[in-house]
Amino acid sequence: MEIFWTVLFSGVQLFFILLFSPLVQGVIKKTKAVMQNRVGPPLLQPYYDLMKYLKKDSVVSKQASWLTRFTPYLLFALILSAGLFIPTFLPISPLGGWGDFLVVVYLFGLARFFTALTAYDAGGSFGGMGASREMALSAFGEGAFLFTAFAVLFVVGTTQLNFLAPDLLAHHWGWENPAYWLTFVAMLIVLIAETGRIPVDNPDTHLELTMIHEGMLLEYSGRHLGLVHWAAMMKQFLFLSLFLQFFFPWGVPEKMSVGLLLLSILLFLGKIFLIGFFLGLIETLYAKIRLFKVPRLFLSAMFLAFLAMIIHLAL
Amino acid sequence: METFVVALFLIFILGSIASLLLRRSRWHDRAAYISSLLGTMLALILSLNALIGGAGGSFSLWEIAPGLVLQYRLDSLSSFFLLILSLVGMALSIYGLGYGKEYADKGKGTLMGAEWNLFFLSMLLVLLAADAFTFLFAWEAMSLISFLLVMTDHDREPVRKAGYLYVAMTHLGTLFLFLAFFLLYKELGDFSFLMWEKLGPTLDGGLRSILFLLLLIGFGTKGGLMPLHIWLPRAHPVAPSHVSALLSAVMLKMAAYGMVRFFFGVLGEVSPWWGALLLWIGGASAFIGILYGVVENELKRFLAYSSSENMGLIVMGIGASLLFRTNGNELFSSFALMAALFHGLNHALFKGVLFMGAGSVLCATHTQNSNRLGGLIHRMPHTAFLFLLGGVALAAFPPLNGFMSEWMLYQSLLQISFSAPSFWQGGLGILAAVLLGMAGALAAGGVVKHFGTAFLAVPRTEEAAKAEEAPLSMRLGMAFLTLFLILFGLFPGIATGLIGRVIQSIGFKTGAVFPLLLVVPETETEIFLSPLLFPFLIFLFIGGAWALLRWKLGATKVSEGETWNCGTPYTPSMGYTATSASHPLLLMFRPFFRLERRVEMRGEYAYFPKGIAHRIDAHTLFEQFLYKPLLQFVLFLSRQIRRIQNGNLQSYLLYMIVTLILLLLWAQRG
Repeated sequence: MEIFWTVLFSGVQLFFILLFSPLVQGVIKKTKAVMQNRVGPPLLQPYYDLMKYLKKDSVVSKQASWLTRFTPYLLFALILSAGLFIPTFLPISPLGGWGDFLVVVYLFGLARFFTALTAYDAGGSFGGMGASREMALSAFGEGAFLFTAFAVLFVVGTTQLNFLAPDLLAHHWGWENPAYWLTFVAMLIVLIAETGRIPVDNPDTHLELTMIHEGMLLEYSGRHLGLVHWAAMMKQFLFLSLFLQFFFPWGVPEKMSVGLLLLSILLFLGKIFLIGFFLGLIETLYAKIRLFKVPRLFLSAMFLAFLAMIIHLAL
Repeated sequence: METFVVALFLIFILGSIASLLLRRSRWHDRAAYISSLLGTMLALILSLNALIGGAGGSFSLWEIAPGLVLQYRLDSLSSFFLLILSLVGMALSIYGLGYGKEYADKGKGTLMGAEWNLFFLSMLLVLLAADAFTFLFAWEAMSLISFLLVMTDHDREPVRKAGYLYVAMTHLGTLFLFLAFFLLYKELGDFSFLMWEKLGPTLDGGLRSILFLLLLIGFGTKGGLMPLHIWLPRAHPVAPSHVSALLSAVMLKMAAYGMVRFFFGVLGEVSPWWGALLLWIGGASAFIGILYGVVENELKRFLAYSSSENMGLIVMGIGASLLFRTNGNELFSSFALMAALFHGLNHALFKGVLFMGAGSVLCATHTQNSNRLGGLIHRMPHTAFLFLLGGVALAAFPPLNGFMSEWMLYQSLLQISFSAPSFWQGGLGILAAVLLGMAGALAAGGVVKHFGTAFLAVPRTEEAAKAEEAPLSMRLGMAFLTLFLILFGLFPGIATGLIGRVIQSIGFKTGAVFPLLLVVPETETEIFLSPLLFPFLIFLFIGGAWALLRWKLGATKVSEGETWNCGTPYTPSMGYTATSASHPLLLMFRPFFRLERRVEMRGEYAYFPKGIAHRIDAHTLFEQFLYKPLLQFVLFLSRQIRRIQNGNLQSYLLYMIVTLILLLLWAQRG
């Protein structure tokens, strides 16, 4: 019986992630457009794009190997699997007891590994450029991400993401805690970097001077590109829900009932769109910074997390 | 067990003799590898027999002089390391059958075959040694034979340089071991490990701390820990590839073996700073080691630096275990030690695969510089696939074995913080775990860079374009070890079950470990991981996405096209090289590299140059600030001392007489 509920819940979660991740992307794009006094594409444009991509033929480079054809599917699968370990609208995650925060980090890491690896496959310069930048930044990014996340998980004393939100609330995790603010700012920096947004990376350009993530995807087309894009949107969605679990844990239902469940779904979507709106706002307000200044941003995130940890220990 | 061991000794000795005797026939190198294959298979049986069946034991083989007996003992700890030796040894022996051909053609196969077998024998002796005398004898033999193996290509200048540095450093390490063993003998009056284990914990605390430091330096030099690592990235790349694999996968583990044996067995109760020191040294080795490795363009140099990183991780695990021990947290102490030993096993397995892969590349193209390669995945598909799996394990990604042990390491480090009894330990664990994460990201970057530039894209040189797939034996050797990467990744319980027995034999009670699910119960924060779940999910989703798309929207129609290059015709030189791939990293971690940048413009006008030469030199911190001054000091000292050697017979006589008088006076005083 327990297996049945696990499978059902996993299915619901997958559906949720697949369905709503393009919408979050749409919200961010629309926010940006409105902020810049443009009309912008419709809110549902990411869905139209995805459908178009998935229907189209792919052009694969003559120089490429089997990796180019395999990687889009793998990325899609890896991000989806990671999604089953992250809680979204419920306090628990579907497979929470079977894998923890580190598994999520390493599944994302494996996705990045194969994206960067396959970028070399076609033998062009853009792929390698994007890959080398991505991997160099990831050394700092991984450090900052782990540091901030550990500073939060330190409060509950486990890497299990199951029951994270109620645990955090039980430990007086909120506005009155200075460590909360420090880790919040640190995680925000990590969030912006990991979802590939301004000021770290510009997702809307194909200029070789500015791109990191897009550089690696330059050789994909058609269905492959669609899968890769969808995977990137899902990763963004998952990062946002992890962020919500860490810093806005309130509102998840403690008892199960249809009413509470609907309420929590609505609340979750509201929260995630608000965060998306906020990200769009940041992206409008700031310009992209130089690549070699990004490590400083990460170092400041690490420093904030370090301070937060000292405050934890002192309190 | 005694006859078994004697048979093992005989196989390796006969193998080396056969290789020497058969030097005129084509069979000399095959004899060497077949005998080492037989020997390692026998060693596998021996170690499994001792690990599972508990059929260890001790015996003495040879009494050199009264009171000076070569004593042997096989217990769980040594049989676990024997397992590493035999698994990697079997794969490398199969691999050697193909790889040795080139050396045989050059006329170097005879000596190498003999040394190859003796190297196995010496490492076997290190593991079996039951007293300090036997141990040091075997340790020296291991160092010297490995030195000879490193020097196989001694007609090349860099090989000789690396070899001399290696032999100097390894003797420095042995010196510290001698000091530690001498101190122990002086205090306890016995050479045998059995007595040391019984009496060691009764020693005075300060003395034990001194012993700890001496042993740490001694074993740390062999294990390539920072800052004693400098021989490692030089010696590994210049040795023949199967020798590098053996050095990296097995010989470095002897350092881990020594540390576990002495820190846990002999030194007894622990001071809190020991564990913290090991955590820092391990963390620094892991992070700086891989940082220096990632910017290397030669495959084997990268792998060698990564060995320094992985030894750092193992030492971190040992440190965490010691720290938990001082806190009285026995469950996590055993868990951390289990993580360290498991990582040792895993590192041996994947580093074996990767060095073999690098060797196959070297064989096929005669270069290991990734800048001069490219496109090998089309020419050597099997090697490329196995190398990729090894790389995924090295970067510690699920579902391969590297992830499992690194996950355990993470958990042990984080638990230091989560269950911290004191302020300073609270931060230490998280800092160490973050270092582990950054080292992991860098390692992944290194694999991406080398696999991307060497195996993917288009051949950039003639050699790479003409590369051919490695012979069957070499691919078989790689595939054999790759099986274990998958096996221990999906069923880590097999390995942790064996390690559990080892740990119990050192005196720990261990938590329950199930074959499918890694569980440590009995704590307030239970930690779980289900390794089999990840490949299941990944395959399910790949298959699901593929089938769904095919069903709803039709099969993927793929057409081939040219790589996009802004419309200009494609040439192989457009592929990204290893040098350019490491450029952002060099600049981002500038303080670690002491960069020297030179830009030379040629031509009349600065804004319209005819040619630009751009050169970046990177230096490592340790060499510039530690070893260079040290070397200068030693040279200065040597010059001063040389003055007394003036070639004058009378003054030499004077030295002797003065020494004699001083000695007599000293004797009189006593």
